Amino acid sequence: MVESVDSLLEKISLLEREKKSLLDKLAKVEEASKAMKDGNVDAYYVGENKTAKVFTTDSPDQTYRLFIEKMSEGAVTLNTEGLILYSNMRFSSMMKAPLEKIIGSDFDYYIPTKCMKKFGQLLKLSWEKDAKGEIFMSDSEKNLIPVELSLTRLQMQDSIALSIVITDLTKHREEEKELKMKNQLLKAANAELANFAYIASHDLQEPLRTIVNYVDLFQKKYSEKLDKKSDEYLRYISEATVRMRTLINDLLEYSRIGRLDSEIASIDCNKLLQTVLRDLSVAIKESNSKIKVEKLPVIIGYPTEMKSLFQNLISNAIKFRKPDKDTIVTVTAQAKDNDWLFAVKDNGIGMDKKYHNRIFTIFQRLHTQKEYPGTGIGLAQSKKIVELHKGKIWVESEPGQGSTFYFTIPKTPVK
Amino acid sequence: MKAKTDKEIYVLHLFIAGITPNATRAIVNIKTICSKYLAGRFELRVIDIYQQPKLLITEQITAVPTLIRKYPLPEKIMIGDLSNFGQVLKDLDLKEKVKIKELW
Repeated sequence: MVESVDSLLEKISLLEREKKSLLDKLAKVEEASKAMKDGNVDAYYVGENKTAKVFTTDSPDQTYRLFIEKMSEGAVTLNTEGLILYSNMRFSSMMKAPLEKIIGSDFDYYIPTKCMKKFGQLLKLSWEKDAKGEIFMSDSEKNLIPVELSLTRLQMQDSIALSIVITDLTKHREEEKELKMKNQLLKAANAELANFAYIASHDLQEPLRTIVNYVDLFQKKYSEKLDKKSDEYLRYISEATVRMRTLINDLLEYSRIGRLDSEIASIDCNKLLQTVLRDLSVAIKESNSKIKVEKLPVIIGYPTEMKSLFQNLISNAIKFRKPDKDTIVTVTAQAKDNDWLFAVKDNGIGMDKKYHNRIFTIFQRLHTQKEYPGTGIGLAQSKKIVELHKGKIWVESEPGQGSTFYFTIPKTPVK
Repeated sequence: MKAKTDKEIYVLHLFIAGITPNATRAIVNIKTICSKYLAGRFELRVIDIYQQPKLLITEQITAVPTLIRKYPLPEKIMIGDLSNFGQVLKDLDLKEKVKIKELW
């Protein structure tokens, strides 16, 4: 009996200890629960069969979340069945549907029937590699929106998903359309202008010829009856008609560039330069100029036009030489990424920076006819030839320091 | 009571927190149940609480994913990824038409 009381007391004390330990545990759980409820913890973990999992309360990826929410593209995540698991707010506003209706719906729903096939192909491709494509989507009001979809496969914790970035191309398309329209207008205006220049210069020749003929006839028939003053006036008329004829011929030649259906061909610029130098041999000899030609490439272009281009640049270099110095002209070419860069460098009189653009305009001259003869068409013609080849031309020069004319010709012809 | 829920339109709100495995499973599970048992008579809204935390204030939610049956009344709350179809159907007052295995 005594023993049994003892054992009873022992049991009570054991139970007391157990109760105390349980109360302690409960207090700890309550404490933890309160802390969680009050938002005083950032994360907790659950140990589960040797694997510990971390659960966060205030998400540390808040920044990325905000970034995705606020970006100007739509972003969605799909499971393998095409179900939308996540959509950012932009996609919701693009589709004119509330977020909570979009998440959990099928992405297909926003693809119009006519684009289904293309979307299917994109989808199929995207499971293998990142895919991109332009299609139409239709919003909840059935408006078609041109978009670019960019699909990326995502390996998630325990499954595979697909993320799609949706770029609205509506504005882009409108701008493209406007640009295309303006371009067409510009082309038409340009063609009309070129045509006008051609016809005008062509038609101007005829009456001019008549003037020249009659002035000639007049001089022959009435020279005895004319006094000194009349002779002088007739000479002025005669000189002016000659100048006018040159101008008209130049204009006609200028407007012919790219008009005659000259054939595109492979041109060995080394050989071309030999011909050019032969044609200019008198001018070179008379001016005592030295023309150095480095190794030049074989290009694809219009042979006649390219010849005029080199001829223009080299004869300009000779024309605008320094009277007191030996003229040295160097012709070089460098290979760039997509173009050949040609340079024609001289040690002539050079020019001020303010003229660097003006010299390429038709009939623009920096000097008087007396100082340097010519109509001022050479460089305008050169510019037109380079542009015919879809290249660029420009000059680097300073007064007294010579000039270098640069131009580019694409390695492969641009249509 | 049962007869009523056979024709009733169901309004269900599912609260999730981002794309987690639990959230993904919850969405797929409730979609499967809706298309099998509530075809043409359900309105499902999935609310990502990160995106719309304000919607949480009016709800009695302590953990996500949580599915709330807003209608028919009374409101019912289910917590978890809704994988236990038998239990979910019971909570939604829906009769088990098909063997659960067939749903998978």
